[in-house]
Amino acid sequence: MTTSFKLLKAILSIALFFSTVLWLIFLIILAGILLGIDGNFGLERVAEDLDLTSKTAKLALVTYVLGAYAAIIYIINTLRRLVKSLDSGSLFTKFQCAGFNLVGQLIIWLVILSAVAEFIMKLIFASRLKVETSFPDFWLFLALGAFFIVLGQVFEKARLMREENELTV
Amino acid sequence: MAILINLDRILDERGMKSNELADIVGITTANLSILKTGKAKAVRFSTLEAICKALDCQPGDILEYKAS
Repeated sequence: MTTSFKLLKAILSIALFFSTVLWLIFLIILAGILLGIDGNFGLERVAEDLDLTSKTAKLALVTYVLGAYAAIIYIINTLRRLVKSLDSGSLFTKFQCAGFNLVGQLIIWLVILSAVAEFIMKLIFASRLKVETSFPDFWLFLALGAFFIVLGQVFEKARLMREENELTV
Repeated sequence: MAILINLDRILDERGMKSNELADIVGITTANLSILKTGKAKAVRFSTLEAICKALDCQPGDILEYKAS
């Protein structure tokens, strides 16, 4: 195993761990809101712009964060499995092609849905019309998603070429 | 596939076994099997030349086009 693979696997494992912990924390917060426990649970730090006085606002925010983190956990886990698969030595497998494609699509959908959800929540809970598509967040992740899809297509082409090469007598 | 491989027939006619041909041509029996079963996606000219030389035949005797 090369150092870069080790580093990547370690980073993804740490990210997966913290994402899972955060997801569980938000799950507990959701349970707290549903049980009617008072308090903001530190949610004002998550959404500074939102007016979190109503239960509905808190519920909507926590549900949105839970959904987003579930998708992030799934993406990170798929990436971990991909890195593991690449490290095993077998390249251009069907799993790798499909995995890169899936990760790319998930990132793009997550970014778009996050932007839409953020817009709707601001519109409803802060009574404000504001579309924020700042470069670092929105466009960078959109480009990252597209890059993974391209990578998946490149792997698919490479897989077909390898198959053709193996079946050349 | 529309391209048929008549290697089995030529081998029968010459009284030669697959592994003998593989040895002469210098390819593995697994690769020869891929060719015989029609699973091959491509045939190198060098392989085709070696097969024709070993079996004393023309490429057209081995390969046949049949519209599907």
